[in-house]
Amino acid sequence: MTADNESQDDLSPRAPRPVRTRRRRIVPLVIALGSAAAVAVLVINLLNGSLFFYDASEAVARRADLGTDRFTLLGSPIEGTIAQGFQQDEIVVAFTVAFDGVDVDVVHFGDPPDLFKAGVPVVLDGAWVHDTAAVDGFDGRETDGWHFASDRMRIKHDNDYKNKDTYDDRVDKATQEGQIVATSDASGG
Amino acid sequence: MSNSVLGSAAVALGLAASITGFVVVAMGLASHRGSWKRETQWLVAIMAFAALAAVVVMERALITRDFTVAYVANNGSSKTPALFNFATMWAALEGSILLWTLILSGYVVAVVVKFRDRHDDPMVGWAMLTLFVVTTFFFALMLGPANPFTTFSPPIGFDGPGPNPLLQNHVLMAFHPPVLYLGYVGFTVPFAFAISALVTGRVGEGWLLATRRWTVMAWGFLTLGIVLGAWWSYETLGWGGYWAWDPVENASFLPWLTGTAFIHSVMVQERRGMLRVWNLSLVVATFSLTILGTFITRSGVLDSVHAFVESGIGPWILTFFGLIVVVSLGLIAWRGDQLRSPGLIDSPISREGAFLANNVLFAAFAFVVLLGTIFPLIVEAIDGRSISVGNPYFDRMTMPIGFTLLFLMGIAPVLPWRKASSGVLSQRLLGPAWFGAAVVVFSVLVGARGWAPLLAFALGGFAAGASARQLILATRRQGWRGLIGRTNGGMIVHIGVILIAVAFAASNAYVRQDEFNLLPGETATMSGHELTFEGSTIVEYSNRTERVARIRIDGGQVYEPALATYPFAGQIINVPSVRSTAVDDIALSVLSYPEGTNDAVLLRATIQPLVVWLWIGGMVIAVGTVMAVVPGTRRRPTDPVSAPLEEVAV
Repeated sequence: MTADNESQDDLSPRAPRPVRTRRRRIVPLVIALGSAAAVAVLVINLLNGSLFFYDASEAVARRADLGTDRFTLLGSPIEGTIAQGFQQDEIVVAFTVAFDGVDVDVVHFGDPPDLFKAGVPVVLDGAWVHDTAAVDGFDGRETDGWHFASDRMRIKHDNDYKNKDTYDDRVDKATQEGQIVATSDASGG
Repeated sequence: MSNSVLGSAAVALGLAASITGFVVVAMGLASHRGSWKRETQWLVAIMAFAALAAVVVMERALITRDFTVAYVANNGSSKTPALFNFATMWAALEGSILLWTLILSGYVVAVVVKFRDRHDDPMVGWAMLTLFVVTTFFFALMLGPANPFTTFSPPIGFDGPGPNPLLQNHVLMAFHPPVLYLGYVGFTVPFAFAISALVTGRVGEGWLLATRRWTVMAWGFLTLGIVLGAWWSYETLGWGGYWAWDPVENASFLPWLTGTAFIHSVMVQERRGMLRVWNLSLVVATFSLTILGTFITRSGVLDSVHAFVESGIGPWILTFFGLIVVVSLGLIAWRGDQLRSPGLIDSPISREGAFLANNVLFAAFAFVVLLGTIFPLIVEAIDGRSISVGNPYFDRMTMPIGFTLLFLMGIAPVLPWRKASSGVLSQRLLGPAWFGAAVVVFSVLVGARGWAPLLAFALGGFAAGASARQLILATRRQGWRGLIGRTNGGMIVHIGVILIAVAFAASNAYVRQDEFNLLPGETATMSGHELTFEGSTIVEYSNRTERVARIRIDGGQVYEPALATYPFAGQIINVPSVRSTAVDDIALSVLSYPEGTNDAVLLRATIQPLVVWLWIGGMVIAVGTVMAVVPGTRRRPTDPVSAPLEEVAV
């Protein structure tokens, strides 16, 4: 049948056919059960696919509660702590991150992202491990026997388009040197 | 007169014209007279002129580096190249709201021109009223928290930082946001007519027919905008990917999902008079999601690689979003009695049955993505803790839906309306099924493995076979006209979507990545490709310094991945270089630049098959969309079979 033939179909409304009582009962039941199963799958996947997000300071404070649960850790790698090695033929990067004055030793399994370097905040997925970070060339700062074992690392992007510190510093410097004619009222950005 | 004063005056004029337009149309509707036509035309012209003038003033400020405009001081720079300096207007919050308003004003002008002969029709009047509400909101935003013409007093010799370096290293950034906005904003028109249909009680097929092409065009622009965004991401971010379920990506994908469901389900209403509540709900959802997307991307409420700033715009947009949802749902509830379907679906194995299944799946898809996107907000609101939803959730939940949609894409086009016999079905599906099987055999022969990509190839082949069958039948019958019209254009769009689906599956399943430490002259081999490090060089540009590594691929052309330093922004940006062929892409990025001319470069190479077909698929969709809005010859466009007579006349 061609599309033209299809267009000649009788599409006018017809009186609905009587629906059997049994079918009328079963169909909503099947839909309800299917919907419940779909919601259950959704919730399970959502909970399994979600990780709580803590900075290094919060992660240390909550260590007892977190146990071996996976979570996301935020911190900035400290200059001079980054060491790279291999464990069972896999690239391993060890370093110490800091946030709000609290340090956490990290062992990351896998390649670091392109722009990974000291001072650039990173976001890591992993869990606490009660063990020292044994990577050649890495002297952990923490001596309490815990480190964070990570298997996923992203660079934390600044939440601003520009390097605001640099920008503000320039305006402040110009102000102090008497170059600003009137008070700045720049906003947004 | 300064740019700030001129721009502010233009925005104020636009707001005044919008408010006056609203009042004039409201008075005309209240007095049941159509004489508001002339006044409205003038007011729309003034409003559009004001929006255009504001944009021209902003561009003038950017081009002349007028740092007394705070937006230019914050986002412009004398060192930014001309094209990106022009595109800086949509590189930050205030400028992008300005662009949004200009496009919205353009759509309102188009509505006035298109419906110029129906000025007495309350359907058009209420749609205009709704459009004026939306334009008033956006002009008000620009006089409030998103004022693009705030003043600044720059110190002597001041230069701005320029836009985010990521937004000035690829030409696609000049096109992706405007095209995306053409899609986003375009859905305002069908939304306005849907509201009008509800208010006037003319909830038959009239409003659908009036806005059919507007919806398809908006959908086409949105699709193209999303594809261009993915392409930009692939070419500039250097991680070998193009989609990361980032909140901002999801914000554009959500209205696409509901919009796609809508352009399918309208056909059921047009042909069978069914799904009236569903269609109204979908168009409201699509427009609401564009506003919610603006909230997500522009309020700073969710972290994103797009990294937009926090601003005071959030409460305004959230309030507007709430208003849209409450008013729309209230109107749908009010008209509930008139929205009942005149009949039931005769058989699930029918065109309308397939469209219904398609809509349930798209709605489920949208719900999954929406929940994953806003779940962190819900958790934080409840117990104050931050949470992130990872890609595994999105991948696991959306993959089965995607497979089922591909399957339906193969089935639906060959199904007749009302009911299909098994004989007709098997006769029409035999060819596509064989084609799907042949695609799998070919894929296995060339080395493809894994059930997920092979299933994607099989379903893609099946769906492509069904689309091609329809096009062949139509062109045999009508010649080149068999490629135009909604059904035939839609089949071309299907082929574009299938190309994207297959390329997505292949590039994700068979990605290979490795790192190499290469001295000058050394060659590395990866998956049969030879990468030779020819040397390095430093190139100075007006806005950046690039440390370039020269890599020869397979003894042929030299590619130049680099690390770019933007001095003022203080950021180092990876500038990947990609060799694209029809078979695979080799994306190169520099991880560590050699200190001296004889030192080694640390290079990352990512090889992904069929990536280029993602972009080709996007272009095919764009072509198909244009074909779909050209009137075909199959049936008269205004011939809904179920609408009461007075509604057909709308």
